[in-house]
Amino acid sequence: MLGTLVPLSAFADASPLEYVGGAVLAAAADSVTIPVNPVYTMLFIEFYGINDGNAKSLYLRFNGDSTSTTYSYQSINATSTTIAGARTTGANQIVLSADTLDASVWQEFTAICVKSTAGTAGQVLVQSAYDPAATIKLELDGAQWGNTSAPFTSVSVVASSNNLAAGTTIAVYGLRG
Amino acid sequence: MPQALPRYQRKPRVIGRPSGLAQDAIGNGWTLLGYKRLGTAAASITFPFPTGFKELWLICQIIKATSGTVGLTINADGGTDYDKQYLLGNSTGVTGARATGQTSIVLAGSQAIPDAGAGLYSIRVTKELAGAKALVSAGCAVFADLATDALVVSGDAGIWSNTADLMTSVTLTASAGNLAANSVFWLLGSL
Repeated sequence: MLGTLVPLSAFADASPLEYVGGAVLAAAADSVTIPVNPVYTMLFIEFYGINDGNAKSLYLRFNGDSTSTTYSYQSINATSTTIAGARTTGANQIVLSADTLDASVWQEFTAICVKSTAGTAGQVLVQSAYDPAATIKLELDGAQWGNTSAPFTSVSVVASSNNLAAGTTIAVYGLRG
Repeated sequence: MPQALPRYQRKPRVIGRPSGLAQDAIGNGWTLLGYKRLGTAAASITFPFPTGFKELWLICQIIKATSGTVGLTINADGGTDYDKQYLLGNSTGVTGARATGQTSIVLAGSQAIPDAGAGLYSIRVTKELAGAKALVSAGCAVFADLATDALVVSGDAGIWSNTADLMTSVTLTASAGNLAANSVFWLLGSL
Protein backbone atom coordinates (compact mmCIF):
# COMPACT_ATOMS: atom_id res chain seq x y z
CA MET A 1 0.00 0.00 0.00
CA LEU A 2 1.37 3.37 -0.92
CA GLY A 3 1.05 5.99 1.73
CA THR A 4 -0.27 9.46 1.18
CA LEU A 5 2.33 11.97 0.22
CA VAL A 6 2.21 14.96 2.52
CA PRO A 7 3.31 18.25 1.00
CA LEU A 8 6.43 19.64 2.57
CA SER A 9 4.56 22.81 3.45
CA ALA A 10 2.90 20.75 6.17
CA PHE A 11 6.25 20.52 7.90
CA ALA A 12 7.60 24.01 8.31
CA ASP A 13 10.70 22.86 10.09
CA ALA A 14 10.85 19.14 9.44
CA SER A 15 10.03 16.69 6.70
CA PRO A 16 9.34 13.05 6.04
CA LEU A 17 12.19 10.80 5.04
CA GLU A 18 12.83 11.86 1.48
CA TYR A 19 14.79 10.30 -1.31
CA VAL A 20 17.70 12.65 -1.98
CA GLY A 21 19.46 10.81 -4.76
CA GLY A 22 21.21 7.67 -5.80
CA ALA A 23 23.14 5.90 -8.49
CA VAL A 24 23.88 2.51 -9.95
CA LEU A 25 27.23 2.50 -11.70
CA ALA A 26 26.94 1.35 -15.30
CA ALA A 27 30.72 1.33 -15.64
CA ALA A 28 33.59 1.18 -13.19
CA ALA A 29 34.49 4.48 -11.53
CA ASP A 30 36.90 5.57 -8.83
CA SER A 31 34.11 7.24 -6.85
CA VAL A 32 30.42 8.03 -6.76
CA THR A 33 29.08 11.38 -5.59
CA ILE A 34 25.49 12.28 -4.75
CA PRO A 35 24.66 16.01 -4.58
CA VAL A 36 22.67 16.97 -1.50
CA ASN A 37 20.34 19.91 -1.04
CA PRO A 38 21.67 21.74 2.04
CA VAL A 39 18.21 21.78 3.61
CA TYR A 40 18.83 18.23 4.78
CA THR A 41 20.38 18.03 8.23
CA MET A 42 20.16 14.24 8.44
CA LEU A 43 21.29 11.87 5.71
CA PHE A 44 20.69 8.14 5.59
CA ILE A 45 23.01 6.39 3.14
CA GLU A 46 22.70 2.86 1.84
CA PHE A 47 25.63 1.56 -0.15
CA TYR A 48 26.32 -1.76 -1.80
CA GLY A 49 29.49 -1.92 -3.82
CA ILE A 50 32.17 -4.11 -5.30
CA ASN A 51 35.85 -3.55 -5.93
CA ASP A 52 37.57 -4.29 -9.18
CA GLY A 53 41.04 -4.60 -7.72
CA ASN A 54 42.95 -5.64 -4.64
CA ALA A 55 44.21 -3.78 -1.60
CA LYS A 56 41.76 -0.98 -1.27
CA SER A 57 39.36 0.57 1.18
CA LEU A 58 36.21 2.61 0.88
CA TYR A 59 36.31 6.28 1.85
CA LEU A 60 33.38 8.47 2.82
CA ARG A 61 33.67 12.22 2.25
CA PHE A 62 31.37 15.23 2.42
CA ASN A 63 31.26 18.27 0.17
CA GLY A 64 34.28 17.05 -1.78
CA ASP A 65 36.42 17.78 1.25
CA SER A 66 39.55 15.64 0.94
CA THR A 67 42.29 17.96 2.04
CA SER A 68 41.41 19.48 5.35
CA THR A 69 42.31 16.55 7.63
CA THR A 70 39.09 17.26 9.49
CA TYR A 71 37.84 13.71 9.69
CA SER A 72 38.18 11.42 12.67
CA TYR A 73 36.65 8.04 13.30
CA GLN A 74 36.43 5.28 15.87
CA SER A 75 35.71 1.70 14.84
CA ILE A 76 34.77 -1.62 16.33
CA ASN A 77 35.74 -4.44 14.00
CA ALA A 78 34.72 -8.05 14.49
CA THR A 79 36.05 -11.05 12.64
CA SER A 80 35.50 -14.55 13.96
CA THR A 81 36.28 -14.43 17.71
CA THR A 82 38.45 -11.32 17.48
CA ILE A 83 37.07 -7.89 18.29
CA ALA A 84 39.28 -4.86 17.86
CA GLY A 85 38.94 -1.12 18.23
CA ALA A 86 40.78 1.67 16.51
CA ARG A 87 40.64 5.45 16.42
CA THR A 88 42.04 7.68 13.71
CA THR A 89 42.17 11.46 13.84
CA GLY A 90 43.19 14.17 11.42
CA ALA A 91 42.33 12.15 8.34
CA ASN A 92 41.27 13.26 4.87
CA GLN A 93 38.29 10.92 4.85
CA ILE A 94 36.37 8.40 6.89
CA VAL A 95 37.75 4.95 6.08
CA LEU A 96 34.87 2.50 6.14
CA SER A 97 36.79 -0.76 6.33
CA ALA A 98 39.54 -1.45 8.81
CA ASP A 99 40.81 -4.14 6.50
CA THR A 100 41.61 -3.58 2.86
CA LEU A 101 39.39 -5.35 0.39
CA ASP A 102 40.27 -7.78 -2.33
CA ALA A 103 38.94 -7.81 -5.83
CA SER A 104 35.35 -8.95 -6.29
CA VAL A 105 34.56 -8.35 -2.65
CA TRP A 106 31.32 -6.63 -1.87
CA GLN A 107 30.87 -4.20 0.94
CA GLU A 108 27.55 -3.04 2.28
CA PHE A 109 27.10 -0.18 4.67
CA THR A 110 24.43 2.08 6.05
CA ALA A 111 25.31 5.48 7.46
CA ILE A 112 23.48 8.06 9.53
CA CYS A 113 24.93 11.55 9.08
CA VAL A 114 23.73 14.55 11.10
CA LYS A 115 24.85 18.15 11.01
CA SER A 116 22.19 19.81 13.08
CA THR A 117 23.18 23.44 13.06
CA ALA A 118 25.77 25.90 11.86
CA GLY A 119 28.73 25.79 14.20
CA THR A 120 28.55 22.06 14.75
CA ALA A 121 30.57 19.37 13.09
CA GLY A 122 29.05 16.66 10.94
CA GLN A 123 28.65 13.44 12.88
CA VAL A 124 28.36 10.01 11.36
CA LEU A 125 27.41 6.51 12.46
CA VAL A 126 28.19 3.65 10.09
CA GLN A 127 27.43 -0.07 10.19
CA SER A 128 29.07 -2.18 7.53
CA ALA A 129 29.71 -5.74 6.47
CA TYR A 130 32.36 -6.94 4.06
CA ASP A 131 34.22 -10.05 3.14
CA PRO A 132 37.96 -9.66 2.63
CA ALA A 133 39.57 -12.93 1.61
CA ALA A 134 36.41 -14.86 2.47
CA THR A 135 36.57 -13.80 6.11
CA ILE A 136 33.37 -11.88 6.70
CA LYS A 137 33.72 -8.86 8.91
CA LEU A 138 31.35 -6.63 10.83
CA GLU A 139 32.25 -3.05 11.57
CA LEU A 140 30.67 -0.20 13.48
CA ASP A 141 32.10 3.29 13.09
CA GLY A 142 31.46 6.60 14.78
CA ALA A 143 32.97 9.50 12.89
CA GLN A 144 33.18 13.22 12.74
CA TRP A 145 33.61 15.66 9.88
CA GLY A 146 35.09 18.68 11.58
CA ASN A 147 33.79 21.30 9.18
CA THR A 148 31.59 23.52 11.32
CA SER A 149 30.57 26.11 8.75
CA ALA A 150 29.02 24.31 5.81
CA PRO A 151 25.88 22.17 5.59
CA PHE A 152 25.98 18.90 3.68
CA THR A 153 26.03 19.61 -0.05
CA SER A 154 27.30 16.26 -1.32
CA VAL A 155 28.35 12.83 -0.18
CA SER A 156 31.00 10.75 -1.93
CA VAL A 157 32.11 7.16 -1.63
CA VAL A 158 35.62 6.80 -3.00
CA ALA A 159 37.80 3.78 -3.71
CA SER A 160 41.22 4.23 -2.14
CA SER A 161 42.69 2.69 -5.29
CA ASN A 162 41.39 0.96 -8.39
CA ASN A 163 37.67 1.41 -9.01
CA LEU A 164 34.18 0.72 -7.82
CA ALA A 165 32.90 -1.86 -10.26
CA ALA A 166 29.77 -1.60 -12.37
CA GLY A 167 26.69 -2.45 -10.35
CA THR A 168 27.80 -0.53 -7.30
CA THR A 169 24.68 1.04 -5.83
CA ILE A 170 24.10 3.98 -3.52
CA ALA A 171 20.91 5.58 -2.25
CA VAL A 172 20.69 8.65 -0.04
CA TYR A 173 17.63 9.69 1.97
CA GLY A 174 17.25 12.85 3.99
CA LEU A 175 15.39 14.57 6.79
CA ARG A 176 15.09 18.30 7.17
CA GLY A 177 14.98 20.18 10.41
CA MET B 1 -9.38 29.43 19.23
CA PRO B 2 -7.65 26.19 20.06
CA GLN B 3 -3.90 26.31 20.32
CA ALA B 4 -1.97 24.23 17.85
CA LEU B 5 -0.34 21.20 19.33
CA PRO B 6 3.43 21.09 19.41
CA ARG B 7 4.67 19.57 16.20
CA TYR B 8 5.64 16.31 17.82
CA GLN B 9 2.16 15.86 19.28
CA ARG B 10 0.24 16.32 16.07
CA LYS B 11 -1.49 13.46 14.38
CA PRO B 12 1.08 11.41 12.52
CA ARG B 13 0.94 11.43 8.78
CA VAL B 14 1.69 8.58 6.48
CA ILE B 15 4.26 10.04 4.20
CA GLY B 16 4.68 7.41 1.61
CA ARG B 17 7.29 4.80 1.34
CA PRO B 18 10.72 5.54 0.01
CA SER B 19 12.05 3.24 -2.61
CA GLY B 20 14.86 0.86 -1.93
CA LEU B 21 15.97 -0.79 1.24
CA ALA B 22 14.65 1.87 3.57
CA GLN B 23 11.12 0.59 3.29
CA ASP B 24 9.60 -1.76 5.77
CA ALA B 25 9.75 -5.42 4.84
CA ILE B 26 5.97 -5.68 5.09
CA GLY B 27 5.45 -2.79 2.77
CA ASN B 28 4.73 0.18 4.98
CA GLY B 29 6.79 3.31 4.80
CA TRP B 30 8.28 5.28 7.63
CA THR B 31 5.94 7.87 9.09
CA LEU B 32 7.38 10.93 10.74
CA LEU B 33 5.85 10.75 14.22
CA GLY B 34 7.74 13.61 15.72
CA TYR B 35 10.42 16.17 15.19
CA LYS B 36 11.91 18.60 17.62
CA ARG B 37 14.84 20.99 17.67
CA LEU B 38 15.23 22.23 21.22
CA GLY B 39 14.99 25.98 21.43
CA THR B 40 16.00 25.93 25.06
CA ALA B 41 17.63 23.32 27.23
CA ALA B 42 15.40 20.58 28.63
CA ALA B 43 15.96 17.71 31.02
CA SER B 44 14.08 15.29 28.78
CA ILE B 45 11.99 14.99 25.67
CA THR B 46 8.96 12.76 25.13
CA PHE B 47 7.34 11.76 21.86
CA PRO B 48 3.80 10.35 22.25
CA PHE B 49 2.31 8.43 19.34
CA PRO B 50 -0.65 6.14 18.56
CA THR B 51 -0.45 2.50 19.60
CA GLY B 52 -0.52 1.24 16.03
CA PHE B 53 3.18 1.83 15.51
CA LYS B 54 5.15 -1.27 16.37
CA GLU B 55 8.53 -0.24 15.08
CA LEU B 56 10.23 3.05 15.92
CA TRP B 57 13.36 4.68 14.60
CA LEU B 58 14.67 7.56 16.68
CA ILE B 59 17.55 9.56 15.25
CA CYS B 60 19.01 12.35 17.29
CA GLN B 61 22.01 14.52 17.83
CA ILE B 62 22.14 15.49 21.48
CA ILE B 63 24.30 18.37 22.63
CA LYS B 64 25.24 18.67 26.26
CA ALA B 65 26.53 21.64 28.20
CA THR B 66 27.06 19.48 31.27
CA SER B 67 28.38 15.94 31.24
CA GLY B 68 25.83 13.18 31.50
CA THR B 69 24.42 10.02 30.00
CA VAL B 70 21.16 9.69 28.10
CA GLY B 71 18.54 7.11 29.08
CA LEU B 72 15.58 5.80 27.08
CA THR B 73 12.25 4.85 28.60
CA ILE B 74 9.02 3.68 27.01
CA ASN B 75 5.48 4.68 28.03
CA ALA B 76 6.94 6.76 30.89
CA ASP B 77 7.74 3.51 32.70
CA GLY B 78 10.36 4.36 35.34
CA GLY B 79 10.25 0.94 36.98
CA THR B 80 13.06 -1.60 36.95
CA ASP B 81 11.82 -3.06 33.67
CA TYR B 82 14.80 -2.63 31.39
CA ASP B 83 17.78 -4.84 30.56
CA LYS B 84 20.67 -3.86 28.33
CA GLN B 85 23.83 -5.19 26.70
CA TYR B 86 26.40 -3.06 24.99
CA LEU B 87 29.67 -3.17 23.10
CA LEU B 88 31.81 -0.05 23.40
CA GLY B 89 34.84 0.94 21.33
CA ASN B 90 37.19 3.52 22.83
CA SER B 91 40.46 3.85 20.90
CA THR B 92 41.93 0.32 20.79
CA GLY B 93 39.83 -0.90 23.68
CA VAL B 94 36.55 -2.73 23.16
CA THR B 95 34.46 -3.62 26.18
CA GLY B 96 31.05 -5.10 26.79
CA ALA B 97 28.67 -5.24 29.72
CA ARG B 98 25.17 -6.33 30.60
CA ALA B 99 22.85 -4.79 33.17
CA THR B 100 19.41 -6.04 34.18
CA GLY B 101 16.57 -4.57 36.18
CA GLN B 102 17.38 -1.01 35.16
CA THR B 103 15.03 1.97 35.30
CA SER B 104 16.00 3.00 31.78
CA ILE B 105 18.19 1.89 28.91
CA VAL B 106 21.25 4.08 29.26
CA LEU B 107 22.57 4.51 25.74
CA ALA B 108 26.04 4.63 24.21
CA GLY B 109 27.44 1.94 26.45
CA SER B 110 26.64 4.12 29.45
CA GLN B 111 29.15 6.60 28.12
CA ALA B 112 28.49 10.16 29.26
CA ILE B 113 28.51 12.99 26.81
CA PRO B 114 31.19 15.27 28.23
CA ASP B 115 30.82 18.98 28.85
CA ALA B 116 30.24 20.75 25.54
CA GLY B 117 30.13 17.38 23.79
CA ALA B 118 27.56 15.71 21.59
CA GLY B 119 26.15 12.29 20.86
CA LEU B 120 24.69 10.83 17.69
CA TYR B 121 22.11 8.11 18.27
CA SER B 122 20.23 5.83 15.89
CA ILE B 123 17.76 3.78 17.91
CA ARG B 124 15.36 1.13 16.67
CA VAL B 125 12.60 -0.11 18.98
CA THR B 126 10.29 -2.98 18.06
CA LYS B 127 7.30 -4.36 19.93
CA GLU B 128 5.14 -6.27 17.54
CA LEU B 129 2.52 -7.63 19.88
CA ALA B 130 0.95 -7.08 23.24
CA GLY B 131 2.36 -9.93 25.31
CA ALA B 132 5.83 -9.50 23.86
CA LYS B 133 8.74 -7.52 25.20
CA ALA B 134 10.05 -4.49 23.35
CA LEU B 135 13.48 -4.90 21.83
CA VAL B 136 15.86 -1.99 21.39
CA SER B 137 18.82 -1.89 19.03
CA ALA B 138 20.97 1.21 18.87
CA GLY B 139 24.17 2.52 17.40
CA CYS B 140 25.66 5.47 19.19
CA ALA B 141 28.67 7.71 18.78
CA VAL B 142 29.67 10.10 21.52
CA PHE B 143 32.01 12.96 20.80
CA ALA B 144 34.05 14.53 23.55
CA ASP B 145 33.70 17.92 21.98
CA LEU B 146 32.19 19.17 18.77
CA ALA B 147 35.49 20.74 17.84
CA THR B 148 37.81 17.92 18.84
CA ASP B 149 38.48 14.43 17.63
CA ALA B 150 37.97 12.27 20.71
CA LEU B 151 35.04 9.92 20.24
CA VAL B 152 33.71 6.51 21.14
CA VAL B 153 31.25 4.25 19.38
CA SER B 154 28.85 1.68 20.74
CA GLY B 155 26.29 -0.91 19.77
CA ASP B 156 23.52 -1.21 22.32
CA ALA B 157 20.74 -3.72 22.80
CA GLY B 158 17.91 -3.39 25.26
CA ILE B 159 14.70 -4.96 26.45
CA TRP B 160 11.63 -3.37 27.95
CA SER B 161 10.07 -6.24 29.85
CA ASN B 162 6.53 -4.85 29.98
CA THR B 163 4.41 -7.35 28.11
CA ALA B 164 1.00 -5.87 28.80
CA ASP B 165 1.06 -2.67 26.84
CA LEU B 166 1.78 -1.55 23.33
CA MET B 167 4.08 1.40 22.96
CA THR B 168 2.55 4.87 23.19
CA SER B 169 5.54 7.09 23.88
CA VAL B 170 9.31 7.15 24.04
CA THR B 171 11.35 9.46 26.27
CA LEU B 172 15.00 10.44 26.35
CA THR B 173 16.27 11.83 29.64
CA ALA B 174 19.60 13.34 30.62
CA SER B 175 21.12 11.83 33.74
CA ALA B 176 22.61 15.18 34.71
CA GLY B 177 22.32 18.65 33.33
CA ASN B 178 20.04 19.12 30.35
CA LEU B 179 19.70 18.29 26.71
CA ALA B 180 21.07 21.53 25.33
CA ALA B 181 19.49 23.90 22.84
CA ASN B 182 19.85 22.84 19.21
CA SER B 183 19.71 19.18 20.11
CA VAL B 184 17.66 17.70 17.28
CA PHE B 185 15.36 14.66 17.24
CA TRP B 186 13.44 12.78 14.57
CA LEU B 187 11.08 9.94 15.44
CA LEU B 188 9.90 7.69 12.61
CA GLY B 189 7.41 4.89 12.96
CA SER B 190 6.31 1.90 10.94
CA LEU B 191 3.05 0.02 11.35
